Amino acid sequence: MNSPNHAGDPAAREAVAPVSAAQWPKRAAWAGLLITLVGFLSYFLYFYQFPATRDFPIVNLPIVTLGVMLSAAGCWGVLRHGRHALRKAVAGLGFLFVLGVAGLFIFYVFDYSYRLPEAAAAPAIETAAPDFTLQDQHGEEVTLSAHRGQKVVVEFYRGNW
Amino acid sequence: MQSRIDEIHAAGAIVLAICRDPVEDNARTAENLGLEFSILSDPEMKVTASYDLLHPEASIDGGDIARPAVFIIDGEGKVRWRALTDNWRVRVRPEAIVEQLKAME
Repeated sequence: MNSPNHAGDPAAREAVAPVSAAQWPKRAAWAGLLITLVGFLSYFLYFYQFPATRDFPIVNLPIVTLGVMLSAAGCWGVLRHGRHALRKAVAGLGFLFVLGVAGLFIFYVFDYSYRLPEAAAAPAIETAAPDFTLQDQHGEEVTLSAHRGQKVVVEFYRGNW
Repeated sequence: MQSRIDEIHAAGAIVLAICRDPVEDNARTAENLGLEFSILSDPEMKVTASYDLLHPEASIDGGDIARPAVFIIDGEGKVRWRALTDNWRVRVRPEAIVEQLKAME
């Protein structure tokens, strides 16, 4: 190679091309890992606040799915075309980790959060609501039966705002 | 609930929210979120248990928490409507409550 300008030299371009082609699996694998983690964490840290995105994870499920797909494509690329055994091992482990995170998310949303006690003895319609006296946020006592003559909406919160 | 509180009040109803947290926590939450209804503290979960809504040991700290539920009680103290979701991530929508209150008039 006598000329410093390699861009115009077809042989030089050929030597450069395979190196950049090998970058995509690694980048896809890392992107997949990052996206899966972002999808998982942002559900609990942010999208949980809004019923529209909490009741069914309409934002986070696609993100996690995308992350898994990118990770699968990237890790497969590394395993297939990579030359270093250590890198292949890392890619394999990374994909398993991504699957674990996605699996945990799916399990929580579609299985675990359905596991509720039966509440068979919860007051039925047309029965008397059990009376109670509790302190409100100002420290004052509030009694349910003191509100006779008025409609009362009693809402039980799970405990973690 | 806060998003629909005016409509709920306009329908002649008040809201009593019950949770496990102590009074000070409820005071802070009410202030932070600008809540215009009562948050009642049930730290020993006795009232929650009397409504059979106890979810034993389901809290992060291993304690008991409540299964989410809403009851609409009429002027005579009778339950007229109730909603228990089948998933603890899903809360009863305030719009549904407003609808029920209006239908009760």
